[in-house]
Amino acid sequence: MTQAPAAPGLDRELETWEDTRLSRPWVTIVWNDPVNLMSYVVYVLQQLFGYSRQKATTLMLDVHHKGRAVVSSGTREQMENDVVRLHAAGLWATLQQDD
Amino acid sequence: MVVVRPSFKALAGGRVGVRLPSWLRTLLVQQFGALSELLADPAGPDTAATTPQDPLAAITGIGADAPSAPDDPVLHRLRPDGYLPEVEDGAAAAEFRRFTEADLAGLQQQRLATVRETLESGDRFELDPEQAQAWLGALNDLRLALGTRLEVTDDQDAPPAAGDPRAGAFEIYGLLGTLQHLLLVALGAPSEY
Repeated sequence: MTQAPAAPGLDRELETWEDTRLSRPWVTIVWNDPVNLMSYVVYVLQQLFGYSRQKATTLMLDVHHKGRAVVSSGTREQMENDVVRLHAAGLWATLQQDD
Repeated sequence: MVVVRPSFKALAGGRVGVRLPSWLRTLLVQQFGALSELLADPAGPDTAATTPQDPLAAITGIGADAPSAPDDPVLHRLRPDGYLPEVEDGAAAAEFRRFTEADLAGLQQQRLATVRETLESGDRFELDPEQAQAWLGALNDLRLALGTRLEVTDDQDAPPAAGDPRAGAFEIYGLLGTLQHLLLVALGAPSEY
């Protein structure tokens, strides 16, 4: 049997603040691959993240030239959702904690 | 003799008009059909959910055991790892796959089914925005599958040597790239890349 906390709303707020302040954020990385069209990668980044054409192009070129690029950051849950959406679009992405 | 070039044309309301020469329509039906069969791999997640031993897996699409990454490079590329193997010693990647692979597999098959349905209507047809997205995803999946099989590299401009048995497949792969690019332009994507 469990007992309800005295002030559940306050506890949750404190927890979230601590999570954001003390833990490292998570990031989503898109990896280069030899198949995906550059035009397609730009399109996907615009569609999924609402990035401008310019920002999406810059990210795509980073992926292409450097082998990988961070395309988003946030909580682990948010990044897992981003990776799911990127995989659905055929891009290879992984999530990890920020360095 | 009239030569029909494949075309994707932007129409009002985000719809896309498609026109295909008959030989290309036949080829696409065959290629997408083959991909659908490959993705319904008996050892993969598409049939795992119907295994009678785990009725919960059938309902939720989530198995009891953490699945390992597919052995087939094509399946692995189409259902890649969500975490690098060093994160939590591979446990994170396995858990991610356990929770997400069935949904991804379902989406891939659904897109292929949409494409198959539209191709059945003939050489000329219109796609609504949702069907256009299905085409884009399915075309990309097909290119990923072929590209992985052919082990293409980033500098794949040189055609295969004469007599290379893969020459036909490379031509199809290149053609699919052209088709995808045409569709992207019809969807409003920039064409400088």
